Amino acid sequence: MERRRSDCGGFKLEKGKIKIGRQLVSRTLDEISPFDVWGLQECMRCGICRYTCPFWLTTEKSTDVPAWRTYEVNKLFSMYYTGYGIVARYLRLRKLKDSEFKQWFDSAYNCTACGGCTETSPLEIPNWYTAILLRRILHFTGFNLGVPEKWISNVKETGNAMGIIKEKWVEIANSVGLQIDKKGAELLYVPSSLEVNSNILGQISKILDGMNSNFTVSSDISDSGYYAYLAGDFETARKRFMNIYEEAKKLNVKKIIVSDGSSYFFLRWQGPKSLRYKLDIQIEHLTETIYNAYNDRRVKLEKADIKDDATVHDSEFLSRLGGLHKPPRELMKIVLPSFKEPKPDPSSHVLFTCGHHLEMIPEKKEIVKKARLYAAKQLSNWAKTVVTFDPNCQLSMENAVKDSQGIEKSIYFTEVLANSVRS
Amino acid sequence: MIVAHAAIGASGGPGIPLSLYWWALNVVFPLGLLFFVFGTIYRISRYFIGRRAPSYAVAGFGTELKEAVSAIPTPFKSASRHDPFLIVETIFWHVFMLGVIIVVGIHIIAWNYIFGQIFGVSNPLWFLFGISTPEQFTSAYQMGLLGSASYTHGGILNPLGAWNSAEVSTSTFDPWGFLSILVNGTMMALLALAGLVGYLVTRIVEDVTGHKRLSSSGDYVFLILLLAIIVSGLAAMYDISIPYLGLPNQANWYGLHIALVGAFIGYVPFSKGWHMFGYYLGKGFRGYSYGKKEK
Repeated sequence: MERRRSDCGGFKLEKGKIKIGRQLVSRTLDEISPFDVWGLQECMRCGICRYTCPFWLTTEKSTDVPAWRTYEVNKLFSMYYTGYGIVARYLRLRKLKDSEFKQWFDSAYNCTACGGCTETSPLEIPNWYTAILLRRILHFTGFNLGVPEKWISNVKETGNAMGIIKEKWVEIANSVGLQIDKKGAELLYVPSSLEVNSNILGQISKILDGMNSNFTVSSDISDSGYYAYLAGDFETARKRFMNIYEEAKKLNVKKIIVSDGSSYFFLRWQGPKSLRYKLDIQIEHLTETIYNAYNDRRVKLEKADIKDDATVHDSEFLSRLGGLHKPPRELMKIVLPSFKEPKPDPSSHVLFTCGHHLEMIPEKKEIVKKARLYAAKQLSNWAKTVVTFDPNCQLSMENAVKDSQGIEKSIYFTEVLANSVRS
Repeated sequence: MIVAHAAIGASGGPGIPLSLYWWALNVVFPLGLLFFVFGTIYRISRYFIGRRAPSYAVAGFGTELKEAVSAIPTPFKSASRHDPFLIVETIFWHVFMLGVIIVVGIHIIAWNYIFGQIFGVSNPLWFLFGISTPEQFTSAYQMGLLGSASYTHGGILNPLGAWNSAEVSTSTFDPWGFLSILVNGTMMALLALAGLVGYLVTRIVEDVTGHKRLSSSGDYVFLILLLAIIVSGLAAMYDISIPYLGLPNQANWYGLHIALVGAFIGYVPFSKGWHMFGYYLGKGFRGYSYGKKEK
């Protein structure tokens, strides 16, 4: 474990012993809601949540049981915020061991925050969230992994987790014909950093043009900012989320459109919660926009030129956590000539997560590959070609193809829809 | 409650030390209730006190109820393949313990008395008497040897008199019919006990092997307390004597049982036992902080 100096209050390394103080706990838990407190405290620790977690199924380690992370965060919470815990802390009956902290380091990134464990849990405990809280502590204490820290610094410096600078973003947007900073447009399209390439943006532009949409992108917004959140830096993510809401007001648009499932979840749900902000603008995933337009007979959908049997990998953040179930699958039903719909519901606990954002973390390469196999094998039961709705899922499925895990082709949904949407 | 104690004659008269039964009924149990009330306020306030992010939407009563029921099969399905034993333990414990608490005659009388005292209502659980079942299948009530008249004739079964379930059970054997082989105090308590011992053994094994290291000392206190409640209840019913240690008479077994139940009730808001309320409460919260059920 790389040890770096940290200027965070509430954390000390003395003679190799780790001391976590109130200041750090208070900062870590600064956005929890009554439900989160309920979730921390109500977990019965039965461990059933582990059975839908591909990471636990891979390692079978006690520290990869999703409830374990909740238990650890609850320990911290109770040490500073419950009567019994405070007394126990003073009597040194409850303390954080160095070995435990080391286990946080090992465990915090063995989770994609997909929410499968929450769906499985009898009490529906938000274990996906406590994994991010552990990362938050790692971030504050200087023990976070290198790539997530890089995401954070990139978001801070360039506004884009992959470090794409404004000039480059504007250049790409211009090259694919996206209108920039157009005031009074109806829609503001917000990409996520993995989508900032001429290929995906070109397809988005084609879809929105195909719908005859009055849309714009912002020269200042090339990323929705959630990578900073997933890396534990809520402050940077909040700033980014707020920038987006303010930019939408500045441009006087009616809706914010995203094409990344994770962006939808963070801008629609977790961002406002984290900011304590009552959202006053509509956030839509592109599939929802198209599906609504199709139902209102404002667009036509033609069959896509994909001959193979194809299925969908439902974005966990879009369906299970984001609550958007119908549009992605319904659109694929219409446009894919041979669509093989997965039997479980899009937010079902039996659907395994892919490697998602962890695919980009070199330290997690081996475990992600093994964990991803569960999703890949499951999807290959329905079809060998998979359509994804989140660029992280797309990356993961592409890696599954490379690693010969049962899938032969992975297609991002924008590619499917680019030639299908007609006004 | 002193009046009640005097009426049932559970303790001796003047000059005779008060029995464990008296202490349990008049001191430990009311204190348990007091702890429960303040503990509940404390526990719920912990959700909200401090800088908590607001949760804008809350499910309605009907949605909560629907969620509470419809969510049950999901974890069962998940665990069935990997850990069927856990499911058996859970079903045994929850179903049969609820059975023991709700339909065993002596408990209905006890709860009727307690809730009646608390809320100042006479016979508040009248609706449960019709489905009450005796403490044991082979009980003399069912064989027709004893009945409501037995109390009048001297109340031979236990010293609690007014809490003797003979009067209840005799008249309510019919609703359960042949099911009373299962639906009786002893059988249900033993099955619940089996589930509880299963929980305890599973936890110990998983903690020792490191397979699932998730137990706090509180988890064990909670399970052991429940174990003691069942054992003392069975001991009270059968008036079990302990050789060489003198005889805790039946009233004292009842006393111990009531004291442990009182302690448990007081401990609930500070323990995992809170999930009996928290489960339902969570269905109102669940998803709303991150959207899922908003749609």
